[in-house]
Amino acid sequence: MKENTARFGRRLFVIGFWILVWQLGAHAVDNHIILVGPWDTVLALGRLIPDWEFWRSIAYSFGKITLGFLSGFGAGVFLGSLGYRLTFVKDLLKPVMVLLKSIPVASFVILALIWAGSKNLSVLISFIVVLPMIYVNTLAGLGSTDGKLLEMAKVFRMSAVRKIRYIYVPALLPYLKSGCRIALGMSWKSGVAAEVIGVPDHSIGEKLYMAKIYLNTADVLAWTLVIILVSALVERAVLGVLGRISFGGGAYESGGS
Amino acid sequence: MSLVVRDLSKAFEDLQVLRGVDLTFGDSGIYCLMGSSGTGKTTFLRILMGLEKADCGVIEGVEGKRFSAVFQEDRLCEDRTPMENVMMVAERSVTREAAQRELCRILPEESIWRPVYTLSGGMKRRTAVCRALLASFDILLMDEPFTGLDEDTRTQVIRYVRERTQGKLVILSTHMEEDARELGAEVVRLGER
Repeated sequence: MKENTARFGRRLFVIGFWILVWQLGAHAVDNHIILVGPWDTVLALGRLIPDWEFWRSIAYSFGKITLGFLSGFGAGVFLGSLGYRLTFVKDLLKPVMVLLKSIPVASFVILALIWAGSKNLSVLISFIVVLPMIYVNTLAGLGSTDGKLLEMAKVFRMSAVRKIRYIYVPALLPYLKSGCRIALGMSWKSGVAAEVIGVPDHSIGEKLYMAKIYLNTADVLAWTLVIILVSALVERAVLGVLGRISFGGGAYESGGS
Repeated sequence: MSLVVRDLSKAFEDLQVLRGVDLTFGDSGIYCLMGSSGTGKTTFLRILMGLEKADCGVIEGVEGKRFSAVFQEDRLCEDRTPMENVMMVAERSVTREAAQRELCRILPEESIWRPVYTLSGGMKRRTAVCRALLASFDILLMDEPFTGLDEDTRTQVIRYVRERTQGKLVILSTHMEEDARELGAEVVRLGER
């Protein structure tokens, strides 16, 4: 308890310290176009919150980016599992994944704008960013499965479902969690960047773009704060679900009969 | 039908582990494979389990037979409880209550609900033995199953193995003559011709 309070105090101090540095920086620069302080950012956020369009933009971007993330996650796990089982599939996908990882997001955004327009741009971009990360982590996680446990499963004639549940999933989860942590952040960064370039109506990217056009730095920082908060909330939710998969669900673990 | 092994050989690169092994096991009973380290006891058991391929030789009487095993290492799912480890391979007819009863015969009750990684080496070994005995099998193969058990526990587990394997074929490897004596097993020497 005492340790928790101390840790919380330390965290509060660190945050307070950097907010103070930010405020002092803004004061020193003394130019609202180049940098506004934390207080002005909070005021800008306060102005935005009561506006219906603010919530609509969050819902729009959240929906699109989450859809892109989830489909990238699903496809990554599926293709990774397939690649683990079939070397041919792994070899076939290798150049695609290398390409997806090395092509700059901006190039994808421009191509996607040409092919699909701006409406579903952030879905496509988050998908493209998340897919190779989750694919690589799935391959690594399944590759780390304990061969001795697989031999045990063979001797005991364990069903495929039980092998997946008791052997493959526990090996895969740590890799999937660390992959998710990075992929979630990246999906938000690239998704919003795509929106700023494509400027779809009612998106966070559009609001950031407009704030930039009007040199409204306070709004840019307020929206940035919103992106950080929503992305952190989504990360918590997704990692929470993955945590429940790893430690929940045991049919025989809850104690005596 | 008995299990017959004829002219079985196995080498790992330049190392000849088994050379022309001829053995016959009955339909049931406990057989103790004995021999000094490196005489191929584990390799022989792994070939019977189908985990290793012999270079040459014939094994008769294993077609359609179900195996169960205690491996040289425990090979348990460490983040699961002993109860879960047993139930994940247990025969369909084994109920949760029956598994609990059996586990409690060789393990302290509170330990069967704890993740395996929190258990001592001896407790893990006993879990591995119980898992093998509750799975459905015709032939039970055990690779040094009593390693890491203290004297009293070893005696308790040996008694339990004898009781649960009546009428079945059990082949186990050990270094200790007392194991064979207490199990009432027939001794089979590997690496001595």
